[in-house]
Amino acid sequence: MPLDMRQTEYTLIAGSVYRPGQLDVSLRDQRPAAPVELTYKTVAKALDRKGLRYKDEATLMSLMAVAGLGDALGTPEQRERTAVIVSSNFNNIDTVVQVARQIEAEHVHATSAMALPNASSNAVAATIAIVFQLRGTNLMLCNGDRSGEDAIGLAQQLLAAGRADRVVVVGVEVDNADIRTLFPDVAYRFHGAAAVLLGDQADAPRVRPVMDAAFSATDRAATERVCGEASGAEGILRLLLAAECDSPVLMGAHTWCVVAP
Amino acid sequence: MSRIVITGVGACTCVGDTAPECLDAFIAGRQGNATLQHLRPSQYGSTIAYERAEKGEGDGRRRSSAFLSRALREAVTMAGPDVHTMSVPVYVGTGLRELRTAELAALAGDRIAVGDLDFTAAVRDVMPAAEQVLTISNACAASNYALALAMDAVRMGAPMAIAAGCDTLTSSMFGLLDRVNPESVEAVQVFDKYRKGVLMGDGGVALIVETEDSARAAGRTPLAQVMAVGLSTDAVHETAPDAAGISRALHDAYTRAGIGPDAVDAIYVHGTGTGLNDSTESAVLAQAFADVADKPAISGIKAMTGHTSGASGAIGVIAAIHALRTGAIPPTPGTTNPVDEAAGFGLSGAAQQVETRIAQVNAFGFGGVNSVVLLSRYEENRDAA
Repeated sequence: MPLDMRQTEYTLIAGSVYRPGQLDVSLRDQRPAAPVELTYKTVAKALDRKGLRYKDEATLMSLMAVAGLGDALGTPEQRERTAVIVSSNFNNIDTVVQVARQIEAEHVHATSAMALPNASSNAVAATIAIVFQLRGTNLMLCNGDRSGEDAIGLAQQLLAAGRADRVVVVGVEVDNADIRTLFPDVAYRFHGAAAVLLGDQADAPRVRPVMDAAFSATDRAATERVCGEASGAEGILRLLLAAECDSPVLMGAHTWCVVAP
Repeated sequence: MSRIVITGVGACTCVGDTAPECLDAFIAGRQGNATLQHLRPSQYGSTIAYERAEKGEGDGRRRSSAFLSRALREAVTMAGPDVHTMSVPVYVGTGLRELRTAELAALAGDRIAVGDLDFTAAVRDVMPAAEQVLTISNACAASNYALALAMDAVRMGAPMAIAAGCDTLTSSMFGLLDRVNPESVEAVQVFDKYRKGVLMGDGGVALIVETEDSARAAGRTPLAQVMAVGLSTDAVHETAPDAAGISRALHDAYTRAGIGPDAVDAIYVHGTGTGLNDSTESAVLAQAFADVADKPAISGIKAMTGHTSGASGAIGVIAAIHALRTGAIPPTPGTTNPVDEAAGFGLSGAAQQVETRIAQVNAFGFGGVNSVVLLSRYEENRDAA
């Protein structure tokens, strides 16, 4: 019998989406738009924090999305037991191919040592932990197009196993020249980050499985219509969209409902 | 609660195509460092690595996937004839996923698919029914994280789960490590006072994890018991290790296992040969074992394999299982002047024979992700913990 992590319900304590250029637009009203490049200065100012100069776009957008969770991130004590799971496929592809091209065209001496942290695929998850002081289990999931919904399942696993009391799950993808050159063309690719804080909090909306497969559940296609092809961020966006639209959400083989507290 | 055991192992590194070949090489202290084979030496300052000869597809693509499939096939075959047809969760720990394939495609002007970056296809080559395959990209601690998740899944009711790991050199990671190394490095000198830095290696590894009851019911032989996997997050620095964070991982592992450091007979250290890792790790161990008179033996597998990144933790687990079964602890060749903090621990240039009941495996990664695995000898008649 295959293990099914999606048996236990959980609460959606907070959610946040950050897309440069599409601020203050509700998720369901988002429309296709050319990706807007985010500079570290914007993020440094918003977070009132230094040391972000060499962060890649995926990391910067993720930091903005997690900052959007606001006070829900909790007290320092709660943050000690808050896990971080980041889902992404394109996160550091830009750094990796740019450095490889520099080395091939010139020599390793042409590269910048400041790129080193971004050469490791878990830079986003690590930086979120550092900036927001989240010391629960830290995981980076790079699992293809279903990575986002797998990340939600993994969050439930960490909660059920007692490795964390709360989990910040982030889905982030980037759309830039390196991604457009290396991967197949799509009409509209998501460029942004979505964050949810999951746990068990009495006054938060409860996400629970429903047996009768709802006919209008929010599925991948529905998410893509408003957010674009979101790859590893899609599952997290889908959950947020369902919560915003007060509709059931289809995750894997299951339909879930977000129920008001 | 039925004990959690490992019933199959597989591994490939620069010094062996199978787990037994790797273990023989480890015990013999055979080091796999050689001139770069799969990256062009002219483009780098340092030109030595611990690479497998296996070439991959075309210009060298899907090498990590090939290492994973090889190790997984070995582990599954060892566990039992029906295991490859099962649908069990597979957790693949990797530092650099298939980023080498992305680099080669970018240099050649080719396009790849999103699915070419993860290991779902490589797992299904061996286990076609595997529904849930998760590529966990947790830097150099990744396969120990995979083991933690596999263990949790089994505790929560999965009859079996697989923890695996794989990595190969990317030009970007090898190059940037080379860029920040002050000296040219020829070999990984684990815990040596005069160590010069880290060199990458590559390989794959797989562990079959299940309950003792499940193993017995199916007639599979437990090789060792997994007592606990402790995890911690530094939340301090992107690349530098943090003593407090590493100490928390040790403490988490001992607490989960219900033992103290005095029960540990052998430690497979993370030991990358860098200034920062080895000084931090050795200081943490010296402190944790300060009150232990009879200190455990230490082995640094990276002296033989180089730093196999996400695969390194579980490769250490396979070496630890060997010690639990035979008492044989691999040497740490190349370490002639051990750091002062290692004094009293059995760190040797020659293989050791140590009565090993409990073994510890450390793996720490970029971003401050720390993992400590505790394994114990499998004794059939012992009461369940």
